[in-house]
Amino acid sequence: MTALDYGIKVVKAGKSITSTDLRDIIMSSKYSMLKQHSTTTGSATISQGGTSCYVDFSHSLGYIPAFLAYVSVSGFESSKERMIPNYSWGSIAGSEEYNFFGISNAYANSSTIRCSYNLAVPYNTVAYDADGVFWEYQTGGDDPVGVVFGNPGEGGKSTGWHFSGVQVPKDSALTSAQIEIKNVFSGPTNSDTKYKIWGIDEDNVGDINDLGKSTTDAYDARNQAKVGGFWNFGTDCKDQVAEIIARNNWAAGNNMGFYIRDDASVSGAYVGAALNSVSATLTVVRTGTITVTFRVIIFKDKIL
Amino acid sequence: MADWGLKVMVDGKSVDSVEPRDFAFNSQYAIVKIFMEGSGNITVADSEYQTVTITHNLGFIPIALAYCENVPSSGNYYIGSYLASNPIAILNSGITSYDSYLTTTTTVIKFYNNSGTSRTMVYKYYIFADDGA
Repeated sequence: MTALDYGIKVVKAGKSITSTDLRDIIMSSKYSMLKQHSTTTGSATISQGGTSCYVDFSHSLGYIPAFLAYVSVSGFESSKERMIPNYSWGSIAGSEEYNFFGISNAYANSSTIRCSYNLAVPYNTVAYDADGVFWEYQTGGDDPVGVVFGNPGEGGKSTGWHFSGVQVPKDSALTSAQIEIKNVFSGPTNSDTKYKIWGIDEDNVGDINDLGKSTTDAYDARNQAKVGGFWNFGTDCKDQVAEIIARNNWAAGNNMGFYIRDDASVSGAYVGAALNSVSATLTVVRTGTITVTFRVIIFKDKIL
Repeated sequence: MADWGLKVMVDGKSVDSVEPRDFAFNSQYAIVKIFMEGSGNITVADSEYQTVTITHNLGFIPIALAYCENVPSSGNYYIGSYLASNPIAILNSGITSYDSYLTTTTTVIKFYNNSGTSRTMVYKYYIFADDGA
């Protein structure tokens, strides 16, 4: 018995049933098709400072199915839905900063489709390195040393720190703000170093060449214990940043400044730094959440 | 010319529906037909890449889908090209990944491995007899 060449073939209007261009065929029983199993959506959130989220879609097929997946992010380009995998960048609605980098992937296993979203930069977080420092006290020579704050034996000394282009919209709700100064060292005494940190109360701070600029009402007074070796110093400045961005003429992208002033530390109690290696970073985290929505089309066809 | 053809409706939908999603089949709409499908595995030495070329000879650039288990024995098959959290650094990120492209005659899948050890990756592909035009 010979197998017959039979089946069903439907071709496009105006095309011949004998066409060899497969694109002319609407349907042919010679070719299989992906068969839809389900379409499901699911959402997850990323809050300020967060970098990732995922949603698992159960399918109960018992094997690894073929699938397609799409993703949209609230506030990002009007929540356009993008095919996964996807790498996209831009800015979130309500934020002038152009630092939103999102990466989405999806995989299937025998029980689940997992869709994930990862941010290259923590959500609602901006960080800037200081681009100017005023040292009230510093030594000379090829490897000068300065006093960040404290009393090196010549009375209390202070510093001013300048950060350019701070992309925090006016009146933003803040989760945190911090200045971290790296590679500092403690003075010789075992006493705490006392300091206060103020913001500079200006809309757009220019170069800091002295300690005479107006300061915010908000300040923090703290004691810093002596620490051995080189270490990193971090200090909260949320209230100061909040006061600055509440100014009438503050705008995202303006410059911001801070004074870290000695607060009657005893002689020999100070926090110092080598001017050639010190660095400072201002990190501001704004309050907020994005919702990431995934849509998954699962087929009954097996990958394996 | 008469208005004729073949319609198969989704359960509960009217044959008079004008909503394409209501049709299980409608000869008015072309179906994405699976022309080829297959799977395989490929071993890639650390810090190297390997290429798999699948010849389809369709004469046009087809629609295609590809999946890859880029972590051996994980059972997790990623769709498309796995994207590292920093795509620019993908070649030194300590992971495996792949990308793919299509021509009028072939589908090419490229597998990268920078995991620190040799890896065997499993892949699955579909090539459709349609170009989506």
